[in-house]
Amino acid sequence: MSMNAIEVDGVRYSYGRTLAVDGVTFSVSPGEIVGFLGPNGAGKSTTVKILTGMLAPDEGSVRMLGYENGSNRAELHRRIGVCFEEKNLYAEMTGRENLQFFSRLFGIRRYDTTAALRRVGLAERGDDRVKRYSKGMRQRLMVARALVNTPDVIFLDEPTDGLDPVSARTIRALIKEEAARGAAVFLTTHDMNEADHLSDRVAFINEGRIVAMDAPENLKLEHGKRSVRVRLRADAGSTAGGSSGVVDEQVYDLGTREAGELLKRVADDPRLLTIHTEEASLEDIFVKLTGRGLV
Amino acid sequence: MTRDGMFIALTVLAITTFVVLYYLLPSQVQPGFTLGVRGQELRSVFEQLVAEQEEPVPIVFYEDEEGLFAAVERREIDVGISFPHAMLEAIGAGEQATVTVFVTPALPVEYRDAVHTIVREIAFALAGYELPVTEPDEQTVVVGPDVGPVPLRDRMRPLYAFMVLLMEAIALGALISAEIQQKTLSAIVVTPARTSDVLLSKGVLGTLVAFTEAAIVLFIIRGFGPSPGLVLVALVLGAMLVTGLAMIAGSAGKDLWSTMVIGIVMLIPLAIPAFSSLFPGTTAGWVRVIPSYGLVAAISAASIYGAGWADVAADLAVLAGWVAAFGLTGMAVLRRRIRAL
Repeated sequence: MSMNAIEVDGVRYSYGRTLAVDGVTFSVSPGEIVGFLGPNGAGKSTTVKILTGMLAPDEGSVRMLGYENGSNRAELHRRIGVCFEEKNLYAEMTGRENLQFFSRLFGIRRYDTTAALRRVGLAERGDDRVKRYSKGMRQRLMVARALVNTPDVIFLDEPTDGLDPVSARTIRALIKEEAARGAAVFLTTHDMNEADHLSDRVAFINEGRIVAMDAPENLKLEHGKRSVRVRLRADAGSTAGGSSGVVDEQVYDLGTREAGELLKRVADDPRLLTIHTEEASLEDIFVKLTGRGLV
Repeated sequence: MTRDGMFIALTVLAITTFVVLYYLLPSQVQPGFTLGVRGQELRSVFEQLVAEQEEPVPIVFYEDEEGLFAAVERREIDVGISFPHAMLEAIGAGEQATVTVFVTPALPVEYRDAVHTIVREIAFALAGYELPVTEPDEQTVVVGPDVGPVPLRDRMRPLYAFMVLLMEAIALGALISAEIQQKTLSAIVVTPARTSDVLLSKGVLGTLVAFTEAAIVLFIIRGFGPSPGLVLVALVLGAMLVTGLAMIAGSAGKDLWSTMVIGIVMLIPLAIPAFSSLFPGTTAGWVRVIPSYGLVAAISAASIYGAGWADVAADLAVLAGWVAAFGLTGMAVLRRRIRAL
């Protein structure tokens, strides 16, 4: 039986009278990417702080990499990597010095900073002071820093925040590489699209509780619409399905008995232009489950 | 200019200024002096003598010899002359009168000779003829270590040392505050480094930098005296004291400027003993309870008066107590702040 990298059972945490995390239970396997989604104040950061040992839960248990409730913290921290949302780098140091400094904190004597910088596309700027970096460059260095110790569990908070599309793609590929290596990745993000594409499973957290946790496809199947949108060249005078100039659009519900027959007829129609599945986005599902948006 | 650059520039500027100021100030003193006299019955004679002087010497009268001695000890006056009770009657009876003179260590030797002459003058004025009054050397009691006059620049040594410690405390406070505000400490506490490692590193760094700079300044201005070990121990304790305060200020500050304001407000009262050491005879009781008093007293005693371990052991012990109190408080406050990140 393979051991979960993270096992959280009934964790509760309050700031004074404010309940921040309310009985959260989930697990993350090695090599799995889990997206942790929720609006501001939902309990994401508190959960991450509990998992990284910065806070002790009021109730419940956290077992990470075999260590119960933050026991042997130093050894646990040796095996995790954290990329914070705040760009908490040493701005007066160079990118290389930042990585060197943190590698020493992990007891790594000879760390290949050049390879690490190259991996996030900063090889050319590694000897520049971080204060001269753009927001996107700092974010890439943050990710590189989180990977200094080749961690078994990686916590990433908004890892592609502020990145241009090309850099974001680089970081996403890197996250997938880390998961393929066997690292459990705990991804906290507002970006539903990113979570959808990266995560093996996503968890929706709202008011301190996990309201749903499953693979994105399963959530879409369970909570989304099952329908297809068909676009046809319009006949003169046609208004069916909502005419838009010379194109007719029609939506067919796949949950009906006649769906198969209808689709066969459409496929044979010479006016057919495109058929698209009409699936719900994760954001739609989140709104449906919680009655609120992500912001 | 960056924050670090600003503090480096300020440190270099301050150290240079202190050293230049030290060597610009006169190395000799030419003080006047204040005179205390036991014997209200002699007031009219003294007032007449003073009136004849071109530069009258201020005179304070005391009821008894104990009061006179205490005044010299506290350095409220530079010279105390104690005439025996019923001196004239004693002389009339053919007895020899002995006058005791108390002087502060800082009184120049030539002034001691002048005091001897004054005693003779007064005796003459009292009787109208040369009286058999003795004021032998052994009756001239120097109250405190007899080192002669102390130039202002040398009395400023504890102040210089304290100012350097103060600057480094504010710099460390600003550094801690920046690490909290920029959350770089959050990144460190999720590595194998523990919170106690962070506290220890800040404490050691702060103490080492403050101590080294203060020691360099004292070395340049020849502030170690005959007991350099004693001065070094006092500086280590002083550096630890201000490091504890820096941790408190750094944890409380919301940004660089609020940290500096909090640090300065906390450290200004601590500067009082250093300033009081500039004025002989003014170390009031309440100054002695200020945490930095032991530091100033030890440096003053060792570098100016050549005091040894036994002379300042009590001051150093009290200082060590304050170091423990501020050090533990500073670490507790910073630990709490790190955990709240």
